[in-house]
Amino acid sequence: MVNEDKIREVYASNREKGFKMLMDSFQEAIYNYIRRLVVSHEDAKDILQEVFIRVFKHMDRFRNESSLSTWIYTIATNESLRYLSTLDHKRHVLPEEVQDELIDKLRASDYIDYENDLLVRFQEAIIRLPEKQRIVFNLRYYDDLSYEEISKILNVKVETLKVNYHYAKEKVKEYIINS
Amino acid sequence: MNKKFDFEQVGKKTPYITPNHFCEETQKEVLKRTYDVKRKKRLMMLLFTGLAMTAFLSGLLFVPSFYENPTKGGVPNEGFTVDGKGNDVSDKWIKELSDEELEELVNFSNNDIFLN
Repeated sequence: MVNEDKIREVYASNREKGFKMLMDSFQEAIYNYIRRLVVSHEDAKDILQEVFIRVFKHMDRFRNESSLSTWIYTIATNESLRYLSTLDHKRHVLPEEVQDELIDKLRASDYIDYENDLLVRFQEAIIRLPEKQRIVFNLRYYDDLSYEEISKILNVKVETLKVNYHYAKEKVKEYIINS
Repeated sequence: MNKKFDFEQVGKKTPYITPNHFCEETQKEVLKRTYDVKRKKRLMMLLFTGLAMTAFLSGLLFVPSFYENPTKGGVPNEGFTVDGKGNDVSDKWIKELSDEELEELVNFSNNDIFLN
C-alpha cells in the first residue's frame, strides 16, 4: 500500500528525495498498466518516462483534492491514449486495425513470455475490447482500483463504469472460449 | 477447445516481462531529464543574471561619462561604440540561444526591478 501522505511529507522537505520516493512507489504499477494498453515494452518505457516528467513538472501545482495515485493514473491514461491515437490518426486507420497492430506486437515482441498460451490469448481478448472498456477492465481487474477512483480518472459515472466492466468481462470470457 | 473459462485460471498474471534493472534505469533517465535539466537551467539563469548585472553596471559607469565628456580636441571617444564589435558578439550570442533560453531571458528582464 502506497503511503501518499509520507510521499507528500518527504517531498515538502526534500523535493528530489520525495520525487524518487514517488517513483519507487508507483513506477512498477504504472508501467504494467501502460504496457497492457500499448503492448510493446519500448513504447511503454517511453510513455512511462513522459508520465513521470509530467508529474515532476506539475507536482507543485498538484492540489490534494484527489489522491496522488488517481492523478498519476490519469496522466498515464492520457499519455497512453495519446500514443494510441497517433497510431490511427497518422495513417487514418480504423480502431480495429490498431487492435490488429497491437495483437501483432503481442504475438511477436521482445519481453513477452509465450510459454503460457492462455495468458497471451487473455491479453488478445483485452486488446479486442473497445478502448473505454479496455481501460476500465485494466484498472479494475489488474490494478484493483475502486469504481470511484476510476470515475475520477476517466471522468465517467460509476454506474456507466460498472456496465462497461460487466460487458468487458463477458467479452473477454467469450473470446477465450471461442478462440 | 476449452468451453469453460474462469478468471481464476489467469488471475492477475500477464505474459509481459520487464527487463532486468528496468526500474533503476527508468528512474535514472527521468531524473536526468528533470533535475539535471533544472540544475542546468538554474546555472544558466545565474550566468545570465551575472551578465545582465555586469552590463547594467557598465552602463551606469560609462554612459554618464560619455555624455559629460564629449570628444575634445578631435580625440575620438572609444569607450562607447553603438555599432562596434561588442554588438556583433551579443547578436551572435543571442542567435545561439534556444527559444526556451530566450524566453527565460525575456521573463527575467520583465521581472527585474532594476531594468524596469
